[in-house]
Amino acid sequence: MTTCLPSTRGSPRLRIARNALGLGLRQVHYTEVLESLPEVDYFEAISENFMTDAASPLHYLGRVRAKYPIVLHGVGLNLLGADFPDEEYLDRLCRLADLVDAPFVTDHLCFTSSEHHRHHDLLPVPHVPELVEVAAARAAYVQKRLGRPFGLENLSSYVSYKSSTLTEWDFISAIVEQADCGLLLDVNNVFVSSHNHSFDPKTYLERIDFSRVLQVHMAGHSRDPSGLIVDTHDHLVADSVWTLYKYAWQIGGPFPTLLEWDDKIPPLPVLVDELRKAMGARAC
Amino acid sequence: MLVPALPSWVEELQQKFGRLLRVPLRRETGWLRADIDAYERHIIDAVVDSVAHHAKERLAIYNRQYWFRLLSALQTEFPSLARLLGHWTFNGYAMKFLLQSPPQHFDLSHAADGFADFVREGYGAPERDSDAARIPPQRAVREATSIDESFRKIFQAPVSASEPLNADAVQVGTIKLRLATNVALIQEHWPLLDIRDAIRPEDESAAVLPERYLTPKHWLIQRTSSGFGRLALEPLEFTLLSLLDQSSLAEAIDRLDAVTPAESKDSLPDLIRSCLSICRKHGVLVAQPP
Repeated sequence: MTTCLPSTRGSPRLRIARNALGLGLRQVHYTEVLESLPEVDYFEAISENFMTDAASPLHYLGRVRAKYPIVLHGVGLNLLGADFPDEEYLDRLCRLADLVDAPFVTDHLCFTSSEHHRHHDLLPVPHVPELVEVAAARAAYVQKRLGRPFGLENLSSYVSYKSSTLTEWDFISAIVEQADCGLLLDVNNVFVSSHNHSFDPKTYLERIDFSRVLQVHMAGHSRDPSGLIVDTHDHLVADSVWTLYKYAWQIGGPFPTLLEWDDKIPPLPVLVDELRKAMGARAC
Repeated sequence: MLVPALPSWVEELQQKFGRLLRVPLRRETGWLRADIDAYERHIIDAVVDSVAHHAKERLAIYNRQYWFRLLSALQTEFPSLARLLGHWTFNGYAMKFLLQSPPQHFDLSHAADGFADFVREGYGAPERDSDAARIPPQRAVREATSIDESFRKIFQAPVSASEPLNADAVQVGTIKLRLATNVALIQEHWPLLDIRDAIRPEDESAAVLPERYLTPKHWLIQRTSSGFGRLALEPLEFTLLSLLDQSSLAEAIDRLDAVTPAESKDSLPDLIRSCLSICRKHGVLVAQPP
């Protein structure tokens, strides 16, 4: 499959193979990664953890980068916030992407700040045509600033707005198409939101353009006492999410696949084993 | 390239959502729970209700996540203090601080900036009468806060751009030295570093504070390529390094001599040479740029 993503900055760039398997790089595993060199194809670093002058995180990132390609994934771009763009943030992100020669950079289709307060959460916006225009222009701006492929990730959400007139899949598809940027498809997020908002997750997958998918995220979730499902990244990937992944692979594969685990993080071999389940799901 | 602004109605919606996130969790029942009756009508009305899940219930997930994420971040940044106070009391201070100073930096760890001063200024009043009996002494709390602050400082420090200490320059004596950005000095009256080192993820209750040391201990902590290291210092070594951070080598030695007890003066030259040698070996001191 060929991608319609724009080539950037001319020179040959490190690429992630379409069938690659990757892991989210977390601080508790820095030493273990460097000592055991697990059999994964790439790592994904949380951008904000390394958009710093602090020597320690950059020291480890450099050592991991010497062994593996690193893609960057942000949680603080605030693409659909009123305070966007934060040019200092973008300067740091661009420097970091250049430093690791990231094959691509991603963040979320959401807002993370208001009234100059950072919420440190990924907050949903109404799915309306006028925000398609805004988000697309802003995503294109970020991609141009980065000079490399940029992708937007779909959220897990617990609320939807009465003002929304578009489905989430039509909303995000229109934005990445208009921005000519990539999509980071989080299959767990599709599952979580489909439960919380009562839609068919397969319909979501059928309506997106897989040629724009830079990467697929997989993660675990938890059930809130209220019955809503929360995207906690603190468990193994649920069987139902692996089933959805299998469907995504059948209709849109191949695509790079990355496992995220952010809380109650187990030893590295557990993550590698969980990631390898993707191979089985693809083979079915 | 033109970056379009948000429609004003979306910006207003986001402001109300942001204010909802900051609605403090209630503590009266002995656990943290969302105060859904305090949510603004405008944001509740903007969200889709369902038979199974009311809008308030859905919004409460974000409200709780906001606080739990930030409280966890502050516990991570101030582990000694959180262990000394216990998470419940610590969270009480943290919530007051965060209401007063909501995060403004994209890096979550910076949400704790200013917390040390907040604790030093505000610690002392128990939240409930029953807390009074087991409340740790103010000085221990301040010391734990300072220890955590020192670790934060050296973790966040950039690679020093200064020249490493040169042996010939030391001979000159007039050169100004300062501590490298990856080191800090700690004076300890309780075994708080041991408490910090022994923290397990499941430790949420307050640690029992051991007896105060008869004489304080002195440490140099250093961020290395493999984590943090600590080096025990003699009191005079600690004083020398503290003085070096403020004055020239010659001035520091003069001032050290002035505070050294008469019975220790003979050994002072050896102590200074030894201390500077260790500092050079471990990259503890750097020459201050002119």
